[in-house]
Amino acid sequence: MTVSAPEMVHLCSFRIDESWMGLELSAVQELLPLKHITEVPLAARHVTGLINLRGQIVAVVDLRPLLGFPVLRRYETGMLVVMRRADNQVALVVDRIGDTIRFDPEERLPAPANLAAHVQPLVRAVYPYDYELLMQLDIDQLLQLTGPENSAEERKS
Amino acid sequence: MEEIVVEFINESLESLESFDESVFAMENGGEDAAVHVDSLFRAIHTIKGTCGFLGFRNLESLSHAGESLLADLREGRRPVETSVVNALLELSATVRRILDQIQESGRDTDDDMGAIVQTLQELQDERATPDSIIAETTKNSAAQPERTTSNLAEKSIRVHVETLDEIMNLVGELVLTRNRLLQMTSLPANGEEHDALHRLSVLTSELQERVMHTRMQPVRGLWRSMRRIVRDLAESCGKNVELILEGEGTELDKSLLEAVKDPLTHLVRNAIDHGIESAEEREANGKPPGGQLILRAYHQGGLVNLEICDDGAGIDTITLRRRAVEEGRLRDDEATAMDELRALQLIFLPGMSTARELTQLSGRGVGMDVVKTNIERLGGTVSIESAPRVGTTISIQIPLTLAIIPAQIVGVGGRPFAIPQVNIVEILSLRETDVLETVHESRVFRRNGKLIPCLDLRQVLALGGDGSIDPLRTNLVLLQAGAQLVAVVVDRIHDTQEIVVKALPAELRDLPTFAGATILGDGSISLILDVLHLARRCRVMEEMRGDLGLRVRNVASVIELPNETHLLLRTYDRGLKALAMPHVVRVERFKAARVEWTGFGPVLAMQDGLLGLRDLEDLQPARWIQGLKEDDELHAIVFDAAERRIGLCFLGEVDIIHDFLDVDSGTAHRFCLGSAPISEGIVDLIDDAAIVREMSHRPEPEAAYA
Repeated sequence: MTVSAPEMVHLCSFRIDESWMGLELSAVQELLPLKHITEVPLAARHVTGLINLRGQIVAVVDLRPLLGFPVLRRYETGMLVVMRRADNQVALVVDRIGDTIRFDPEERLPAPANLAAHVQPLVRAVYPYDYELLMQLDIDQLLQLTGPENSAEERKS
Repeated sequence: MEEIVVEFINESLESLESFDESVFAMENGGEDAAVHVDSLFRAIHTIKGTCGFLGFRNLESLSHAGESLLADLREGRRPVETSVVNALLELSATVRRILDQIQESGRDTDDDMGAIVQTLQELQDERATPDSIIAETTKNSAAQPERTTSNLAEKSIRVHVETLDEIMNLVGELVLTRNRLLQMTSLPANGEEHDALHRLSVLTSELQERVMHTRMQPVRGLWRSMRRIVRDLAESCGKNVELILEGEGTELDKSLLEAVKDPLTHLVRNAIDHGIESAEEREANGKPPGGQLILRAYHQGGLVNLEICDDGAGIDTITLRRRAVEEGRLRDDEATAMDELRALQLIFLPGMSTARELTQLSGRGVGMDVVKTNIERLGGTVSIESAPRVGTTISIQIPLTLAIIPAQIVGVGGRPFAIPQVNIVEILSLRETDVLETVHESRVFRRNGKLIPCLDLRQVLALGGDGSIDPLRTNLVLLQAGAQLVAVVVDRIHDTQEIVVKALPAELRDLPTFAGATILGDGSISLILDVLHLARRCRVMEEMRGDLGLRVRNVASVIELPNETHLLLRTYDRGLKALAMPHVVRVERFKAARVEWTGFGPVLAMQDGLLGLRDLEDLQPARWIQGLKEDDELHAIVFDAAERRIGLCFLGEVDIIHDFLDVDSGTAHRFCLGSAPISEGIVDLIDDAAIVREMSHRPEPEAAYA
C-alpha cells in the first residue's frame, strides 16, 4: 500500500531545554547559526534581539520565558529557526536542530490536561518521538503570543 | 481576486481621481466646461460597461443612472445647477466606496443604491431647457481628450507600490554594501580599481535618488481632495469660501503624502470653521463677503513647505491667554506679561481652543497639539502666524522622504544608536562646557541662563549607567523635540550617515523608545532613537510652560535661572549655607569609603583625575573625613576656577533656592559674604570670589586636569 503522503505531518524538530518541539515544515523558512544578534534595550524578555536577514530586520524570539523554562544569560551555542507566516518573519532561538520528521496523524496524542495553562494554547499536538514526546507548536498562536500586545503585558509583570 | 477585477478597480479609481475636479470645472463654466462634461461622461460610461461585463449589477445600475444624467448634460438638455453638482459628487464618492468594497471582498456591494439612483433619475427627469454653452461646444472638442489619454497610456505603466518598496529596499541594500566596500578597501587613489569603485559609488547614489523619485507624487491629488472638503464645509457653515490652490506639482514621498492628509484636513476645517467669518461679520469689518483660503506647496532647502492661509478673523490671543489661565497652565500675571508671539504658541497646548462653542465640524477631540505631534512624528515642524482681523497662516515643513534620512550615529554602552539629524541642534564635548549640573537628583545642562533637562542615555536604555558621568568620555547631544530642548549624554559620537529607515518587527512595535532600525555599513543593526519620546520621558512635553520660557517649579524642565538662584547647603554641623552657581560644575555624593589619602590630604578618584577634598568653611584639606564611618555619605561641590577643580566637602543635603538673598555683611568673614534670612532660617552666603582668589594664588600639585 502506498503511503498517502499529503496526509502526513512534516515537522522540523528542534530542542529547547530538555524538550523536543516541532514546527510545521511549511512554516519554516530557513535555519541559521546563532550569531550577530543586536540586543534591544528595554525590550520584552522573550525578545532576544534583532538580526539582519539579507536586509530585512527580523526579531529573534526566545521561547524559554514564554514556556516557563529558565532563561539563559548568554546564547553561545544554538541555532535560529526562521519561521514565516504571511509577511511576518520571526527567528526562534533553539538549542539544537533535530531531523525533519514525518508523522502519521494517527500517532497524534491529545495534549495532556495537566500541561501548564500558559503553555497549553501553544501546543497543537503531541507525538511520540525517539522514546520521548515531541510538542508540535502552533505557529499562529506563537506569532500572536510574541506580537505587540502580549509583549507589553509581559513587561508589566 | 482575478487580475481583470484588480485592473478594473485601479483604472476606475484612476479615472475618478480627476472626476470631482472636472465637476467643479464644469460648474465654473468657461470654455473647457464641455470638455469636462465629456470626460465625466466617459469615465462613468467605462465603469458601467466593465461592470456589466464583470457582473457587478448594483454598481452597474448606479453608474447607468449617472451616465444618463451626464448624457443629458452633454447634450445640453439640462443646465448645470448646484443640485446636479452635488449629485455628481455624491455619485463619485459612492462609486469609490463600492470599488473599495469590491477590492476588499471581491464582490459587488449589497448596499441599497435606491436613494442615490432615484436622485440621479429625478434630476434627469426634470430636465429643462438646453444650456446653450455646453451644447454648442461639446461636439467640437469631444475628440480631443481621447487622444491625450491614449498617448499617456503608451508612455506610462502602472506599478504596484509594493514593487516600488521592494526596489527601494534593494537599493538601500546596495547603498549599504557599497558603503561597506568603501570601508573595507584601501586602494591606491590613482589605481584602476579605485576608479571602478568610485564609479560604482556614484552610480549607486544616483540610482538611489532616482528610485526615491519614483515614490514621489505631486500634491495635486491631496489638493483636489481638499477642494471637496472645503466645498462641503463652507456649505454647511453657510460661508462663502474661495479656495486657491498653489504649487500642485510639488512632489513628496507617497507615504508622507498620506500621512499629512489628516493634519492638513484638520487645519483646513479650523480655517473655515473658526478662521473665516460669516459674510455679515466680514462686511461689517470692511472685508469682501467671501473668504479666501490659500493652500500653497513649494520646495525649499530640501524640505517641502505646505501653507494654509486664510483671510479670516485671526487667532484671538486674549481668549487663548484666558483659557491657559483657566486650565491652570499660566498664572494671571504671566499671561498678561507674555508677548503676542508666545501667546500664539499657546494654541499648541493640549485642550486649547478659541472656538466660542464647539461646532459639529471641529471639536472632534483633535486639537492643534495633535496636528503638531503628527507633523513632528514625520520629522517636520509647524509654525503659526496670525494677525487679528487679517487672517492666519499655518506653515508646515516636512522632509521630502522618510525612507532615507541623514542621522548621527552615537555610541551608548558600546552599541551604536542613530539619532535623526533633523532633531540635532548641537553636539558638545562635555569637557569644554563643563556646566552639567545636578539640581535635586535631576541633571540639567545650563546654557544662556536656561536649564536644559538632561538625560543619560545609558540610564534611559538600561545599559549600565550608574548616573556618574565621566567628562572625559562624555558627549552631549542637544536635541530639539518640538519646541523643547533636551540634552542627552552619550559615550561616543561616531559619524553621520544616510540611513535607510526600516520599521521594527511587530514584536517590538510597542517599544516607544525607538522609531525604527537601520542597517549600518558593516551589516550591523542600529536602533533609531525616538527623540519625541525621549523628551516625553523627562516629562518636558507635558510641562509646556517651560518651553514658553516661563519660570516653573519643576526643575526637570527648562527654567530661567534668575540671578538669585543659589545652591542651598543644609549642613549637619554648620547650619545653612548658600553658594552662587557660576563656578559650580556639579555636586558629587559619595561614601566615605571612596575617599583616598595622599600627601595633600583626602582625595576622591574621579574618571577625570583626582579631586582634592577641602572643607567648605576654611578651604583646608578636609581631614575630618578620617573620623567618618565607611558608610557615611558626604557631598562635594565640584568647584571650578583658575583652571583647577576642588571639591568643597560637607555633611548634609543640597537643595536649590530662587529667593532673593538680602545679605547682611555684619557677619562676613574670610570665605563668607554675610548672612541672609530665608524661610528656613539664616543662611550664610559663601564668597565664591574669595574662593576663586584663593585657588589662583596657591597652585597646588594635587589636582591637575587633563
